[in-house]
Amino acid sequence: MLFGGSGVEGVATTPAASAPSGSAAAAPLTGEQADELATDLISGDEARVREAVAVSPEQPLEPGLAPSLASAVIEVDASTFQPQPDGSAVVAARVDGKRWTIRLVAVEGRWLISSTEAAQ
Amino acid sequence: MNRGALLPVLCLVGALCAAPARAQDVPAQCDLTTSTKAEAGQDEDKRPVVFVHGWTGGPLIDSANALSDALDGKISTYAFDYSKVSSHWASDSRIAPCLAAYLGQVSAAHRGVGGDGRLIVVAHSMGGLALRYALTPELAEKVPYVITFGTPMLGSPWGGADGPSRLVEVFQQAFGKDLPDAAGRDGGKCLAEHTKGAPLPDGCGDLPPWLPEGVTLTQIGGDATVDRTFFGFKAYSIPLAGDGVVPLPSAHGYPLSGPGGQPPLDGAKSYSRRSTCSIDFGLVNRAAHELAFVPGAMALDYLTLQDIQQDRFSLPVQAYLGGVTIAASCSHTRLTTERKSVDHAVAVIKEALTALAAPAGGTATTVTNVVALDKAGNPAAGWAVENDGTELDECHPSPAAVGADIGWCGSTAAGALVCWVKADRHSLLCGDFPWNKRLRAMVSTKAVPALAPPQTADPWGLELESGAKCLLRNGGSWPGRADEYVGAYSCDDESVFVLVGNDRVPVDRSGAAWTVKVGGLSATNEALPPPTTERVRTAYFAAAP
Repeated sequence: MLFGGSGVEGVATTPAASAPSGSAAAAPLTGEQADELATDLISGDEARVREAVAVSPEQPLEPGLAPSLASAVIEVDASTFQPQPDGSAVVAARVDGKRWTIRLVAVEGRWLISSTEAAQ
Repeated sequence: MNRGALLPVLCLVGALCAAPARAQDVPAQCDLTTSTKAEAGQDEDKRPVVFVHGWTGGPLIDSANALSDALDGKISTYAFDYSKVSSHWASDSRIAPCLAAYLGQVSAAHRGVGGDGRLIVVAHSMGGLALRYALTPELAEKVPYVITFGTPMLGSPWGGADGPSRLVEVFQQAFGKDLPDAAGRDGGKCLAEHTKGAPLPDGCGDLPPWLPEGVTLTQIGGDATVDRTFFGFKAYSIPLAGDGVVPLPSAHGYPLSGPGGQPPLDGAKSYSRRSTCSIDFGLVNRAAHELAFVPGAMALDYLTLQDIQQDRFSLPVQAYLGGVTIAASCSHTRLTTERKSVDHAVAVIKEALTALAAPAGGTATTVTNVVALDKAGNPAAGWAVENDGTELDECHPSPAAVGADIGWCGSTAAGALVCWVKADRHSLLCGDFPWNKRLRAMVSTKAVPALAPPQTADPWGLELESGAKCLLRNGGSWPGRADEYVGAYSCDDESVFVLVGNDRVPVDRSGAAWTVKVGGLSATNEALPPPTTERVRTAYFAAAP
C-alpha cells in the first residue's frame, strides 16, 4: 500500500524511454538553449511547453498552464548555469521581473526544467 | 548507499517517528524517570492528557504545549518517554507495559487531588500501537479517549525486514538508543505493512490487540498533495493520500488492523480525521535532493509516478516521499504540531472534556439488583457454576441482600459473602463478584434457616466514576491508616479502597448520585492523604429470584 496510486492521474513514461540521463557529460546550457526554453514556455502551445519541462508525455496538464505561461515575460540567464554534484543543474531566471531559480535535469542530452522556486 | 547519503536518510527517519510517576506497580524494567512526573501539575479540574511518541522518537513536548495552549489550561499534559528503547517494537517489555504503568500512575495522581482519574491519550505513530498493547480492559476504563496522529495501524512501506528502517536504528544507536535484535522485536521491521489480520513479520509477536470496549479512538492522518508548478502556475497535482511515511489507509486502518482482521462488535469506537496540505514540487524536489541517496539528476516526478501507481517502493519513490516528509506541513514528522492536525485534536479533546464532565450514564447512580438464580433454583441465564465443595458452618443474612434467603456464610476464608440458598436448605450458590456471573456451589453442614434481608443493605459491589470496581469487605484483616477511616470496599485488586469514617456509612445515598470516600490504606497504618469523594456509577445488590 503506497501513497496515492488510484488518485494519481496520468501515467509516467517508462524510465527506459525517457528517464533523465543524469549524465555528467551533459553540456552546459548555452544562451541559445536558454532562449529556446523560454520561448517554448511562453508559446501558449501545450506541446511546446512540454518540450521545456520534465513531465511525462502522458501526464495531463492543467488547461490553464500554457496560457498562463504565455502571459508571462520569461528570461533564462544561461550565464548563471551551475552544474550540481548530483548531476542536475540550476540556472537563474526572471519572470515578470521577479527572480526565480530553475532546477534542470538532463533528459537525453537536453536540459529540461524539473522545478522552479522563487528566489529568496 | 554511501556514508554521505546515509546521514540525511537517517535524519529523515528521525522523521519517521517522531513526536513519558510511582505508587502503582511499575515493572522493574521500566525507566520512567525521564517521563513527566505523574504528580506534576495535577488539578482536580484539569483533565490529564498523556502524550506517547513513536518509533525512534522522543517526548512530544511541542505537541503537548500546542494542545495545552489551544485548550486554555483545561488540560494538564504528561509526556511518556521511552526514547532510549524506541527502536524496539511497541510490544517490547520496556515500552507497552511501562506505558500501562505510567498511565496507572497519572490516573492515580489525578484521583489523589480529587479528580476522577480518567485520562486522554494522544499518541504519535508507533506510540498508538504501544497504547493498544498497553490497554487492558481494566486500564481502558481510565483511558476513555485516544487520539492517534499518523499511527501506522496497517504498517508503513518504510517498515519491514527489507526496508530502510534498520539503517535508521543503527544510526540512532550512535545517539544512545538501544539497537534491537534484527531477528526479534525490531521496531522498523515490525512496522511492516499488513492488513485484515495477516501476521506481523517473524519475531514481532501478535498483532496489536483491539482496543477494549468503552474507548473512543480518533485517528488523524496526514494527506499531502504535491502540486507541480512552473513559476507559480500549476501544471498538475499528485495526491499522495499519506503523510510521506504512513499512507492514509493505514493511519485510518484501525478497523482492519487487529487479530482476525475484524474488530469485535462490542469493542472500541473509532473515527477518522484527515489533515490535508499541499506542497509545491519544487520544495519536495529540493528536499529530496538533500537526501544524498537520490541518484544524480533524478527528475523525481518523472520517474516516480509510475512506481507509485504500481505500488513499487523504489528509490525514486523513497526520495519523493522523503522530500514530502521533510517539506510538507502535514507530513509525518510535523503532524503532531501542524495547525490543522492540532485543530482536529483540540476539537476531539473539547468533546471529550464535555463528555467526561457529565456524569457517565446520567446523574443518578444506577442500582442493579443481581439475581443469580431463577425461581426453580437453577442458575439464571448467563451464570456459570463451579463445584467448589467448601463446607460452610453458619449462615446469616447477607449485608448485601435485598431479598430473602441470601446468606453470608462462614468462614471468612470461604469468601461466601453472597450465597443464594437452594430449596434443600443445605446447597448454596455463592457469587464472588456481582459483575462476572460466576457462582461457586457450596454446602452448609447445618440446614440454613430462613434469612430475611437487612433493613438497609450495603451494596455488594460498586462501580465508581473512575471506572474502578469495588467489592464489599468480607471481614478479615485489612491494612489501615492513621486517621479514623477504615476500609469498607477494596477496588481493583486493592489498588484503592472505599473508606468509611466514624459515621459507619460507606455510601452516601442522600442524593440521586451516590458518593463514596476513596483513599489508600497502609500495612503500617501510615498517615495518608485525606480521602477524595467519588460518584458511584452503579451499585450492585443481591436480590431474590
